[in-house]
Amino acid sequence: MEKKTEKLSSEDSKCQKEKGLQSTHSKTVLAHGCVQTTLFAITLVLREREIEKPNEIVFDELFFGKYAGFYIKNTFFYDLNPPLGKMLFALVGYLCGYTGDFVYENIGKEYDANVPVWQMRLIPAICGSLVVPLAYQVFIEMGLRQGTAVLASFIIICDNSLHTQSRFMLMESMMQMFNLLSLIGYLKFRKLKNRPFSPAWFTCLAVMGLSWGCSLSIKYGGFFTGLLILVLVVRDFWELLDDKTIPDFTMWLHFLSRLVMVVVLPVLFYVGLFYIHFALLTKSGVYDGNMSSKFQASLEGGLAAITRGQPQHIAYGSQITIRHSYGKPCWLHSHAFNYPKYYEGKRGSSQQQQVTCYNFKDPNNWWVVKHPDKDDLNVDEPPVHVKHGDIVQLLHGKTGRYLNSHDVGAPVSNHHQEVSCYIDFNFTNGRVPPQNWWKVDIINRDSEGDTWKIITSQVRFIHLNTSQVLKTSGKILPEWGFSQNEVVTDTNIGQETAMWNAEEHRYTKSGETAEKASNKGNLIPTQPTQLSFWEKFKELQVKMLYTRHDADLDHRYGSTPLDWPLMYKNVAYWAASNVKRQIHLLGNPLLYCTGTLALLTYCAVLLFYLLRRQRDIRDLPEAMWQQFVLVGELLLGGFLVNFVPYFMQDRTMFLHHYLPGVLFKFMVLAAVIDHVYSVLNYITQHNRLANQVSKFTFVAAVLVWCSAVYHQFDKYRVLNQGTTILTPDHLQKLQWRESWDFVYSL
Amino acid sequence: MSEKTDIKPPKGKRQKGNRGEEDNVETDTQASSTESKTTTLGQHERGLFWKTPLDLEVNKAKWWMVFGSLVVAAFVTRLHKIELPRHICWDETHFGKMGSYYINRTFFFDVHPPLGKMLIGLSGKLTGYNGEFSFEKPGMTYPPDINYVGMRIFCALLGVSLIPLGFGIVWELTHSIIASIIAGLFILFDTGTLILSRYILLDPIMMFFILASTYCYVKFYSYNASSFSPQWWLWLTLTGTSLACAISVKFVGLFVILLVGFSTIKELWDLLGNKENSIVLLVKHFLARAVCLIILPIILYIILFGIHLKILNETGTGDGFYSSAFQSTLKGNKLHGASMPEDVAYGSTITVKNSQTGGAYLHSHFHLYPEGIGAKQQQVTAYSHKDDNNLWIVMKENVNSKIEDPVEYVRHGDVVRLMHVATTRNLHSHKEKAPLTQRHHQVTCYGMNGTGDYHDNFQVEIVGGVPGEVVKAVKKKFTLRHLGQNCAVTQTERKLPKWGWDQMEVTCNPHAIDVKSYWNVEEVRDSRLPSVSFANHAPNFIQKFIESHIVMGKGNRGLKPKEDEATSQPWQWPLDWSGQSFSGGKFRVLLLGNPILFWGNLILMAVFIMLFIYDGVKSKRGTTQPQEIRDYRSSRFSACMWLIGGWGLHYIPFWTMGRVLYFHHYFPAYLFNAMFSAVVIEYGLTCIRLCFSKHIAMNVYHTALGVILAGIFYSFYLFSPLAYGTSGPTALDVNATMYGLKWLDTWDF
Repeated sequence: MEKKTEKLSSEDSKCQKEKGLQSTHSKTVLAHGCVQTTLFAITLVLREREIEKPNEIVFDELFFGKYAGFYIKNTFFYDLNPPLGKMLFALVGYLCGYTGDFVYENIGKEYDANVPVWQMRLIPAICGSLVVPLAYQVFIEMGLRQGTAVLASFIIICDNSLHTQSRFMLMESMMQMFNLLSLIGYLKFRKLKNRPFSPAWFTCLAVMGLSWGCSLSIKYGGFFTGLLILVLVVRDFWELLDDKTIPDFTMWLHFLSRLVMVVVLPVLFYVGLFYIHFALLTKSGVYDGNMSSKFQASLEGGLAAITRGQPQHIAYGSQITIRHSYGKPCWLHSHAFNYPKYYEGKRGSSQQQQVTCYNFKDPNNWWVVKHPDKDDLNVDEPPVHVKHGDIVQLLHGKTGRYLNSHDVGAPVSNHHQEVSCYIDFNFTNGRVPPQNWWKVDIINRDSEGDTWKIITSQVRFIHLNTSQVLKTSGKILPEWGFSQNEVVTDTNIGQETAMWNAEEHRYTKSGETAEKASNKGNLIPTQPTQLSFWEKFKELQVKMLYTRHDADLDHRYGSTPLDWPLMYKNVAYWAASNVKRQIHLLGNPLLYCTGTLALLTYCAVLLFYLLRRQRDIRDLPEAMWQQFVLVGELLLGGFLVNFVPYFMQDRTMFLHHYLPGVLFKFMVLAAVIDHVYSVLNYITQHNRLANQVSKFTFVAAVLVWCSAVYHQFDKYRVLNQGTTILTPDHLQKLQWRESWDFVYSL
Repeated sequence: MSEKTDIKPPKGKRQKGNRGEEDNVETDTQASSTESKTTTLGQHERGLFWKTPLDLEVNKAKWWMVFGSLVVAAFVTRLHKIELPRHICWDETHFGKMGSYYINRTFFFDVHPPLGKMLIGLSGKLTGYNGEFSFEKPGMTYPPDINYVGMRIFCALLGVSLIPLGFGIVWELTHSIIASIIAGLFILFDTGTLILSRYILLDPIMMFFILASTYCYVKFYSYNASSFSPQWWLWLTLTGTSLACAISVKFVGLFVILLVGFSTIKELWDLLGNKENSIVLLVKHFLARAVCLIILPIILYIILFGIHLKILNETGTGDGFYSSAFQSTLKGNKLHGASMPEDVAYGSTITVKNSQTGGAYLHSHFHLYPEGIGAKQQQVTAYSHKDDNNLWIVMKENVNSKIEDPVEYVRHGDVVRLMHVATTRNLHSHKEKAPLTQRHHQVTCYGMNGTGDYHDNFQVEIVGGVPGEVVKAVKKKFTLRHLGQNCAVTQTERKLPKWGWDQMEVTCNPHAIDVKSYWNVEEVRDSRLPSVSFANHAPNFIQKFIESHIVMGKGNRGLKPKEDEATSQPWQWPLDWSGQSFSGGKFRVLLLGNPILFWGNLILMAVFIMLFIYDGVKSKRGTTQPQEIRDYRSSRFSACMWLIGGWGLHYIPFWTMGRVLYFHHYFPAYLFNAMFSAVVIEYGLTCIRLCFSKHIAMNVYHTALGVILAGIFYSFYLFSPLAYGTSGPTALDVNATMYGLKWLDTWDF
């Protein structure tokens, strides 16, 4: 205990003591508690120091801070990350009086006084500091020495990348905290296997499951640690099945309680968060465009603002814009330009007027719905509504030509049929007859009814002559088509790309006033429409999970997973405008390299033991072997599940994707040191002198290494905090690897 | 032990091991009493239900009869109407073309290793095709004097062999005639496998070598009781050979190598666990496998590649992908045995090639950057093919150097201008964003007749050069540094979109300089300068081998989905979600699996997982079953696990690939899935049989089997028009051949 108090007194010299705890006997819970509190306090002091500086947007705060603001302003936004992390920032911001008015423009913009920078940055700092005592607890639960637990804590404290990441409004430290919490839940749960169905047993299960849910709801990367734990739980259960003293009924209870706590609970939590998410974000904002018209109409001041007072039912004579219902928004469009006579590759076209799908609102997006048998474009009194199965012609408002399709290859996807606005050319070989009748096919008529309504009815247009369906091909037209999206017809009716909905709407009026026009039908409600939670959830979820990251594969700070273990690439987070102060994400090089070495050592030693055991040679006492295996399952396993999946992803990645893995890597490092110590102790157990000498030498070596680690940490810390003025010379000195990319000039 | 023991092909991987002998004696007596129906179990006579063997026995003659009829059926289905359609189908355009290249010995570039295409070329040559046809694009009709059928038949023959191989693998794994037959039928009657086997494609060759490797390996494994016997060595060597062939056809062959590799590791692990094996013996085992499964395939692969390079010794379409030095080894290439000026002088006409492996020529053409992408000036790109638009004239800054001027060499540190010959504009860069790599600057061609401005000036810096050093063609790499912005002209790894004709992007990189910014002069045209021979630049075989692989690797990575290409997602494949059109128009062929078999596979997989968990829990919870049933089950389960592993190895990796994928990538996995399903069906039927009382068990068994076989036949009857071609209206029309069969909207027939 006295060693701990010393630690409190002097922060800088702590490295000598961290290691000093040699006690192999378990101490009381209270003692552990004291150590953990102390560790937490030290880390927090370290992480928190000058955290409010720079008072400017650093790296991804640009996004997370912005989204937090949107929560406070109840404005809808669209992000690929799940909501929990941003909600926490928003909560703290809200409690501290942040109004959400600050405009996040670019990294380096100065925060105004309304933004509670210190408080908001404090959350990751606290979470990042909690990681340390939690890691300590993991080691204690795994039955390793207390000294090792302190060593692991020391390593985590002294890593520059974890230090940086905990100091700004970023997600990783929260995720790490929940990962470790989940791990502790699992370890405690294992220990309680003799007391099934006790309150403590259930609590551990719940902690395991809920922490997984939290971690997953902060970043999808949190899924992997939970997956590892789930696999371990299943394996333990599989072994439990061998116990024939447990009756089958109890076995079912075992199974169900695990299922509920570890799978159902996290899922409920996750879905619940989205419920809150939608409950909070009720107003429309700049991100609406990503969502369908239906979704937008459910937001206050969203589409409703545009479509306010429009007639709800489409009638013959209606003027409408037709929006593509899925994917990137675009509207059916035509303009007074024809298809070129020949495409690339000498393929001919009809040379008729182009029809495209245009991503922006434009007067050329307006179409008139016309009855094929009537020449009158005006809406009758009362309006004749268009129903499912009706035949219509679509007249392009600006050019007065009809939407047409015929058996000519489309410009880009030539296996589909071209769509054009019909021009009555009289070619030498005769004229081509128009084929401009379309059948209106309302897809969701079960829920929305048989009449065509704006926004809510999803419609297909089926070309009557060929039975093909109007759709976007997903391809971009070349220069002559102004890089707009290609529109074609296709035989395959049931595609998502063939779904359209009418968005803006007005009745064609012959000299009548606007009010009169709007008096003709039921007006669509000016209130936001009601979209059920599940519909919203499904739409957003599909978008989040299936949107391809259109990221710049050649990002200056982008890296590949192979660059991470040996710290080949840094990430610049922030630089003052005069470049004198900078913040970079970079790991403690010594720790990263020895950590990687430890991983390799562990694998090599494991292989050695396994080969020997296969020949029935037991090198270790059973208890030691079990512990060694446990380290592999939990810590090495944790590293692998957080590292290997990145090899399979085809997108830009950064060093911070490595951080969940790096935490496990550090824990393996500490565990390997512990194992070497145990082996030394075991080999020399019969020779007292050799035992003492080897142990002493080893501990001394570890202490030397620890001081080197601390030295490195201190050296690179100037690049983590952005408070020290750095000259180019100084930067040059810190440039450990050629590939590190510091900012020398802007 | 009578002839009955010989009936079974060589002792296989029977789990029963020591009990085998007793079994055989028993079945022997039983077989003689029920001679008339050897394929039945004969348990009625025995009365002792649990003691009878669970596999149906079969005599040698019947075995060969079944095997023979499957092979005949395979020949018939694969070769029926093989000459149709008489036009190029789908990728025949590539592989037929490449076969022709081998026949003509012209050099080309492809992302796949050479064996498959060499075999196509060889088969064409042997059947009288002389390589004259251009194979320009799909749908083009074969002229009457071109014998393309020979190549199709060659591929189809390899396709035929899939059936006996599948049959053989399942036989070796289970020794169950029923499972083997079903496996054969699943492969025989799958329309997808059938279609893939009938055209000039790499897939039949690929699938043949994959199954051959698998067969050789299980055969080898069946000899593990008599290690180091001649047969053991034979099959081990054959395994290594077929593995080498598999990976020499396509890199997908890696997956079967992994399958064999993991199995071998497992095998060695078990050997290690048997303490009766001495360390010396273990080392022998290890070395035998290392030599035959690692070293031998590597040597074979290199030899095959050597043959490839040896055959292709004339210049062709692929030259531009390779370095200048490589090209100098190709007959007919400008650089081959060429003598051209070695030094570059002001006024020389040159081509400039990027020095990264797979780098392309600095190129410009009469097209402008489109609106909104930097300044609307003339495009500068990197282009792999040889073209007059790759020619540039080196000029001094502010002087229009001409060929008539006295010779003045271009030296390290000189500031030059490069004038594009065809358009007389100068290479230019300015502070606009590059089209794709937006943190770089745009490179354009600007000016007229060589007059330009300060932003046309580039400093030539030879890599590792000293002041005064002369720029030499091929040998010297240099950077072109733009003086105005202090950036270096770079070829990035990204392809421009349509407006840039899919050529590579060229930018000016203001950041760190790496190999992407290194260029070398390839061709020099200058009458004033003395010429030297290029023979001494020629790389040796190893250098060529390595370079080819780097270029192939880049090519593979570059196979990103293009804007106008139909791609498919791995999840769609096992569901038989949508087909891939081989031939359209009047004679339609659609690559689509037999849906009954595909969906059957999925159901059987689910059934297997449930049975596996059920039996696992059952045995954990201590239900006792007779030893025989347990043996039987564990033998079937281990066969299933192994086959499902093969399936997974050939399927799951595609989930992680970013490159463009097609449905036909699934078929190696399908073969494993088919064999797996066969074993599961056989196991399931036996389980059902065991549930019934012995009086009706065999009736139930045979009825169920009959229904399954009939289903397989009938589904093939329904869907075979997909393979043999349909014409007329599409399936929605009442008069169509396949009316009513369009079960999924996504099927396009």
